[in-house]
Amino acid sequence: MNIWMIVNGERREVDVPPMKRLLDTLREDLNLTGTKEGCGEGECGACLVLVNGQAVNSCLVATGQVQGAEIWTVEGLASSPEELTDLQSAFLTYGAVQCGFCTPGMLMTAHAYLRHNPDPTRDQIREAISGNLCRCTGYQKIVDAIEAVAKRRQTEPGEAP
Amino acid sequence: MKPVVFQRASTLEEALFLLAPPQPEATVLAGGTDVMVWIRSGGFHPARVVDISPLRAECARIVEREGQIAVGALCTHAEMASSPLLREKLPLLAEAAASVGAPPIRNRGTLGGNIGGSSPAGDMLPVLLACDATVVLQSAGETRRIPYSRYCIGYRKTVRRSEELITEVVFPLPAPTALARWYKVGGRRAQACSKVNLAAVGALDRQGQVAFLRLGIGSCAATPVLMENVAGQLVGCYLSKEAIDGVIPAISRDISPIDDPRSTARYRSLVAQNLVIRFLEELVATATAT
Ligand SMILES: Cc1cc2nc3c(=O)[nH]c(=O)nc-3n(C[C@H](O)[C@H](O)[C@H](O)COP(=O)(O)OP(=O)(O)OC[C@H]3O[C@@H](n4cnc5c(N)ncnc54)[C@H](O)[C@@H]3O)c2cc1C
Ligand code: FES
Ligand code: FES
Repeated sequence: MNIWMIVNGERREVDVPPMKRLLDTLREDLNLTGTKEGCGEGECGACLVLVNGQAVNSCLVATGQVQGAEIWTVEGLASSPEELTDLQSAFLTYGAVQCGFCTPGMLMTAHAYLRHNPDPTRDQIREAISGNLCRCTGYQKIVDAIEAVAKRRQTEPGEAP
Repeated sequence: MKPVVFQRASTLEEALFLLAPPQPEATVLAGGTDVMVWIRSGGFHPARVVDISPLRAECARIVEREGQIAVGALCTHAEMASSPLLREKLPLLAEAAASVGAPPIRNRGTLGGNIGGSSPAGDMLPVLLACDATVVLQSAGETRRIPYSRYCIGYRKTVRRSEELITEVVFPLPAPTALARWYKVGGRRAQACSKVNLAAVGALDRQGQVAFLRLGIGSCAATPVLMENVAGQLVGCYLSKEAIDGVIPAISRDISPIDDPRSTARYRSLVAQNLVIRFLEELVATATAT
């Protein structure tokens, strides 16, 4: 089935079985391998992408369901490898990345969440990332990074992407 | 394996046409948070899938109408959790929806999908029982309205016919004096299927006797259960300490929990008792306070 979607701002077309998971279409057909597969059953958030602005697990979405949808993956965050977003830089500075497997999903979750709630408490951040598992960091540094970005965006308005 | 036939319905009318005979039976796909997992775990191979996610324009509204709240089947858990109307008039449903999975599951999973799967652990289902909600089933030829207490008739077995779509759920507004509570006990706070969940609605009359009591409990039998033995024993009675302690045998008659990977029958019985008693005690405490 021919399916078109807007991926990271660009119109893309694929010819895939409609029940193919969006996760696999992104990785195999569009070469966007930033999106990871952890559990394959909605538990871990490694495959998290935005579909029409909503954070969803791409392992639970059939590609046929996103006909015409707007999709953002981790590759769409930075405009170039040299120009990371404030969130990506904060993950690096705060040590929120160890093996990095959860990072794309964490970034997409945090990116979507901060647009919805620009000034969250630490508890709200924890709740927001509760669908993203990390086996390495113990979460503290991830929460630190997200909190720092939110605080900085509050004091330096206009900086937020 | 034969490729799956995938049909995307863009309107309700089209969806009902695609489900109507003589077409072969199809699997309805809404948020996919159950269906995609069933397919992946290998046991489920649908021959035909009808994607109803584009029906949101018609079937994702939450409105108040004639003293009732109608919630569209395609409403997501996130939408129910944040709906100002539900939070004001039916907070029990909003709270239960907020306790489902984690944010990305709540962004995709729908009310209709929770009912469609009718897992004994489904978190919306005890709420439907406690509120005496009615499921609206639509097919090309007719519309049926079935109270959820008669909807799920066995383990994941429902009265829905294959040509029918769940289009909305209608909740009578609880009496303003009623106390409504949602209790969910799971392995961890996020992303955990319930070990036991209880939706409770009840009120005392002016004399302090139980005026009505509806308890919907999940994960304690093959289906979600309306606790009719408990209600039968307590309605019309004062909630003395003896009356509350005396309800334990009725709780055991209402439920039939099993051991499974998530928990044991013994633990579930104990939690069910504790939750019911906690609600009854809260009912007394709230009545005494006012
Ligand atoms: C990680 C994870 C955590 C979860 N946590 C919870 C939890 O805490 N509590 C909980 O209750 N559930 C939980 N679930 C299960 C699931 O998310 C919910 O049951 C959800 O409501 C299903 O909705 P859906 O739209 O995704 O259903 P789908 O997967 O699209 O469909 C589920 C079933 O319903 C049928 N169906 C769907 N819509 C309709 C309709 N309108 N008419 C007729 N039939 C229909 C489908 O054919 C299918 O049989 C979890 C799932 C995952 C993967
Ligand atoms: S791979 Fe999708 S949630 Fe784990
Ligand atoms: S950094 Fe390794 S899983 Fe999170």
